[in-house]
Amino acid sequence: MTTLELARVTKRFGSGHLEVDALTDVSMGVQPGELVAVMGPSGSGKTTLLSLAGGLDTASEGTVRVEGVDLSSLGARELARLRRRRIGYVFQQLNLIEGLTAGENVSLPLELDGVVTRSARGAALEALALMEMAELVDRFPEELSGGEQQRVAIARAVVGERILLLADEPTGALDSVTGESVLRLLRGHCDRGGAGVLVTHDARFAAWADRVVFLRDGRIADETRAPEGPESLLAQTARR
Amino acid sequence: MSVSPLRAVARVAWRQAWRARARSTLVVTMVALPIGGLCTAAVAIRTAAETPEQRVAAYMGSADLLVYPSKGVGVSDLKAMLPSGSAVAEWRSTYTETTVGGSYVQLFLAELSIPAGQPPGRGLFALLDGRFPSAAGEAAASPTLLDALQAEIGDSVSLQDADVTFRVVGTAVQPNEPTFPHAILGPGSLDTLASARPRMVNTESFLVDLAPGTSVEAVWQSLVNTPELQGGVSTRAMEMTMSFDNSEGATGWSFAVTSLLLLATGMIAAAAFAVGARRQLRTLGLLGAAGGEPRHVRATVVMGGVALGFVGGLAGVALGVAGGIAIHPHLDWLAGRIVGPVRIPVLPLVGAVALGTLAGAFAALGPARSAGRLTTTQALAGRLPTPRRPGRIAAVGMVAVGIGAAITALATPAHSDPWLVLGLGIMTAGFLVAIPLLVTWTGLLAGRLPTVARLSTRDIARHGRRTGAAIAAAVIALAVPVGVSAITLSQEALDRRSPQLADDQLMIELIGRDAEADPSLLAEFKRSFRGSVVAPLTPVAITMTRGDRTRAHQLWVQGPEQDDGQGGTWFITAPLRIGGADLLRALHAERAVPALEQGKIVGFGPDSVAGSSVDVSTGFAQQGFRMTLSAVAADVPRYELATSVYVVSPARAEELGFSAADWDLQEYPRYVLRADAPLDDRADPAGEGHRRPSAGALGPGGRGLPVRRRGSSIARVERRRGARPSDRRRDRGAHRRRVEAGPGDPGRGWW
Repeated sequence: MTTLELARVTKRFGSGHLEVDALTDVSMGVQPGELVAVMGPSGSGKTTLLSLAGGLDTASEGTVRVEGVDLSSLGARELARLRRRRIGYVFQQLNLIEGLTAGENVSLPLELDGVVTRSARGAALEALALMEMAELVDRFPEELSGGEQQRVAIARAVVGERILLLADEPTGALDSVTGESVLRLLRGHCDRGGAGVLVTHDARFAAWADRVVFLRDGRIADETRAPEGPESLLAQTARR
Repeated sequence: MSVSPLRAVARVAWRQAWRARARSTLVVTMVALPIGGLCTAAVAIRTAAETPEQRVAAYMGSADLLVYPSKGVGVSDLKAMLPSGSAVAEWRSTYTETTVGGSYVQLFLAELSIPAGQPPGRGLFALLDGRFPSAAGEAAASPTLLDALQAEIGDSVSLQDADVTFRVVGTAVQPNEPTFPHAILGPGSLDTLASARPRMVNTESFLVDLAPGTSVEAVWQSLVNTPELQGGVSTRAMEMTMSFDNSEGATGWSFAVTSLLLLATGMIAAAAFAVGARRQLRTLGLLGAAGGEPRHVRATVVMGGVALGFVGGLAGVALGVAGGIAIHPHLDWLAGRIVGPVRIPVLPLVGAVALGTLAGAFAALGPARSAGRLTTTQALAGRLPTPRRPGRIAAVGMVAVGIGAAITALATPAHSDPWLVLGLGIMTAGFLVAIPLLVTWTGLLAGRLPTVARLSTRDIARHGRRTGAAIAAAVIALAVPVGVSAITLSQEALDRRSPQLADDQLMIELIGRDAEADPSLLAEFKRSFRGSVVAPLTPVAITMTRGDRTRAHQLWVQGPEQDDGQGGTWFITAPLRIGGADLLRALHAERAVPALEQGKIVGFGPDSVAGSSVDVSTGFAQQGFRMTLSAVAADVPRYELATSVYVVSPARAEELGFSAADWDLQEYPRYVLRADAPLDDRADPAGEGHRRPSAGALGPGGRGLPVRRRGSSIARVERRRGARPSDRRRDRGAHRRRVEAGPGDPGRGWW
């Protein structure tokens, strides 16, 4: 089953003479195990697409489906439940709640879902271990580097049984080496059967994806495979 | 919400509050201060409140039985009625006055027939220094009395009026009246006075200590059925059940006032929470992105309020207990009694913490609701929704302000407290609801203002929530003093509408247990106020015989039934006075002199007489005297103090078998003086004249009051104008001024 499917999705903001289409007639799908990169200039609708895909916002027209479930048919509570259980987010920066430790940040979606604190903490530790961050479980965000914070954010995005990982410029505030390590983790999630959408404006990072979708003025301008290059080779290596 | 999500949001809330320590401290302080005040009050009230045990001990010591005095029953008679081994103490008292160094001193003397401090008198007095008196001629006096007498332990004091001399052997006070000017005398000290002037010495009670093993109930049963005691016996247990503890009411009022303060505090704290919620939008957005529902977002903000309110409550309790301990040394003075150690009222303190927690939660509710309405994308982007325009409710609020103001305006002159409270309540509630509209109007005005004022006004309107919270807090804070002022003004309006005396009148009352009417005093007053009329307000009595007892009963007049304006009726009931033309002239009723001389009773004011008669009676229905007499109403304004009387001429009184009553019967000798001109402020001895050192400041044009009386005389002088309402109200009670000046030394001695 297609993990994420957008069918002729349009998103409008404002009304009257201030009305603007952020996305127009966008259709795309993401299969399990697939990492799709979305590229485009500023204002092209990348973040809007991600918000619609994660149920943070609703489409003006068209349909968004996650694992076959039409998000427009869900209420606020069901959408929140879906985000807790199946969808993970990683933002460019300030991903973590400052008052919570790394472990608490990661276990938050599970605890909100009613999982007993001890079990949630166990699952968080596992997710952090996957990101090679287990030893930093009790650190607060300000005690972590930018790369470490992004890894904790990815751990939170994949903890539990999340299958769709949405990353909005996760490497934007990182140096290239740290950025690559973050991308490796995203790639790893997809290689374990999850699906991912990566918004980036950097071709080097898009090369980690299986497919690249180009957006311009809210429309899909082009769609292609990842370009060949050393980063792609790296991705192939990581996949192997 | 199950436990795990609750724990998660509580953790987020607490950590966020901890991270924003400055803002959190502000909120905690806002909650802690009123709670602290409440807890200080609660501790003080609990500590100062007299327990039933203390209250009962203050008038029956450690006695098992209290026997009220009965004619002809003395200590030996009582002992004969009690089982062997019982101890009986008689508690006698007297009141007298003296002058020390030109100052007037009142004394209350108590005497126990056993050494004070021994059972059954133990607990009646608290010894502060020295020892209790153990023999006749010894006394332990209160510090207040020793100060007034300028005496100390070891000194001898002689009271000429009371024929009592005692040596001070200690200082002691009544626990519930430590500032009372009294002395506890040794056994037998009042014997001489009691035999010489028996009316000056009263037996307050007999205190009985029963032998161990004796049944108190059985003895009470036998005593209460003894005809000589007329049932005036009670046990300690009975007195305890009749005693009550009023500290709960005071604590309740403290809670009510604190709740109001917290409401105002909550309004300001709500603004702090709104700012806090705005500053943690990213956190709330992340919570939403991680799968948090709107209720989780709301709970996070509310939990912050609960946490800070709880901490504020705890801090307030700590402050309050510390405050209670700090004021404990002054509680004796504040409570007017000797208080014990600090007592901590646990339940009110727990309630105070709950109140603080509620206030915090209340303050966070609005911001929580707003945060819950934000979408996750708005929160992540740090965008706030556009504020809604004030709706119909705000307009209704404005209407309520108008209605409330109208009710208040009508109720103030009508001095109707329930309507005043209702009007003020509606007005305050209306203001609170209408605040968004007022803020919007302020914004609309901005365009017409100069640049700087325009910028600040627009800023006020843009931050409507913060502005509204501040205005709401101010409205609540102002509502209390405004309400109190309105009610006070209403009362003052009533006072002004019902003056106590006319401009040119003085009411003079001689106070003292053995004070007597003295005709020479009238002459002295007349000489002082040349051209004035002075007349005594002599009460009237009728002598009645019932069985073998003949007694004089004072006569009262019942006026016509009147509408009280609140759906009920009332009667004027006033004492009948004997007087002639002088009294009517002093009361501004010269035109009624012919009617008085025709034998008619004269009332004052149009409502005093219905038709042409009034009912004169002894005031008690059963087997009392009642007679309908012809009467006329003098057409004069009715002054509360002077003309709440009816007058009968001496001749008519004699015809009817009435007589001038003994002043001792009901009241002290009282005179009314009418000067030849209105008395100005300088003539107001009941105001602040006692603070003026100048002589001759008692009458218009420097006329003094050259009145000489013996040392124990007191005059109470009251007048209408020149005094503040509070003074007039006080004077209506028992404000006393002493007349002590010799001829040719006008006015000196007023204090």
